[in-house]
Amino acid sequence: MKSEAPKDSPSAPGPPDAEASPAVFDRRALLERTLQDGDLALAMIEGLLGELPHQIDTLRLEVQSRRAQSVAQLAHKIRGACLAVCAPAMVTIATEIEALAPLAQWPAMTGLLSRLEHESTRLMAALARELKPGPDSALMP
Amino acid sequence: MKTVIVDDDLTSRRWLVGVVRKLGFHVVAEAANGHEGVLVVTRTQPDLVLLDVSMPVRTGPECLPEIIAAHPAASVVMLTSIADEGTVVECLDKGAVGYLRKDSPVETITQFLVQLRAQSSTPRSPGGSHVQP
Repeated sequence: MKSEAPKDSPSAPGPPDAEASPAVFDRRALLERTLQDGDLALAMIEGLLGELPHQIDTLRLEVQSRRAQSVAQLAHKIRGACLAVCAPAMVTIATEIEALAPLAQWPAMTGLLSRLEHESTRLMAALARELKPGPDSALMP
Repeated sequence: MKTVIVDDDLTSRRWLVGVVRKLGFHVVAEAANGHEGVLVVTRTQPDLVLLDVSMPVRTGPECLPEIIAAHPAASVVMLTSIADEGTVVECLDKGAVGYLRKDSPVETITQFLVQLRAQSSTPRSPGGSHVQP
């Protein structure tokens, strides 16, 4: 009997056109969270896609500059945004960064930042697919 | 119910605006930090303020007293994404009527707001009353 490895763990890269796993983006949870309002879900996704790249860039600079308070604030903000759109893998990593920042554990933080950057790429790809009409999106009218 | 939402995160704000509108609340303004929050509450005189705890420029707990002073009739509900009991207790002591964890199920949040609206339509008891999710 074969045991199949998980196809889409938070740290494993997947093919760019693959359906996102709920760990990356949980579309069903987002629709529940918006009371089944697809337009609201899309507006939230557009908001996140507009802000997340800049937030990640800024976070990288703040980690490099070892500004603990700013790192914690940014990680908190990223966590909140990813919580809102139901992206649990990003929430987990951002939560870890937020917790480590006051402890000034910079080597660990650098590793987490790499994971966050990787995961944000997967998330943004998954969210961008939601904005395109087609079989991949259940949100587009 | 005239509502102001104060949260630094655009995505969370959009979500909250959408959900409270579905409940029939009228969102009269949004703000992205505590400083802006005080200004819009002063200008719009809302019935309800949803006030994030952790924000840049000025945090929710820092600006809460000013918001209450600017419009004592407003019900202020703190928004938090972590169970920060110390901060919540501090804010309730300062005059917030309740708190909401943003990671709560949406049904919990909507029930809380509906309950709050029902309480707001009745006269306040001396010392106030707190709504908990």
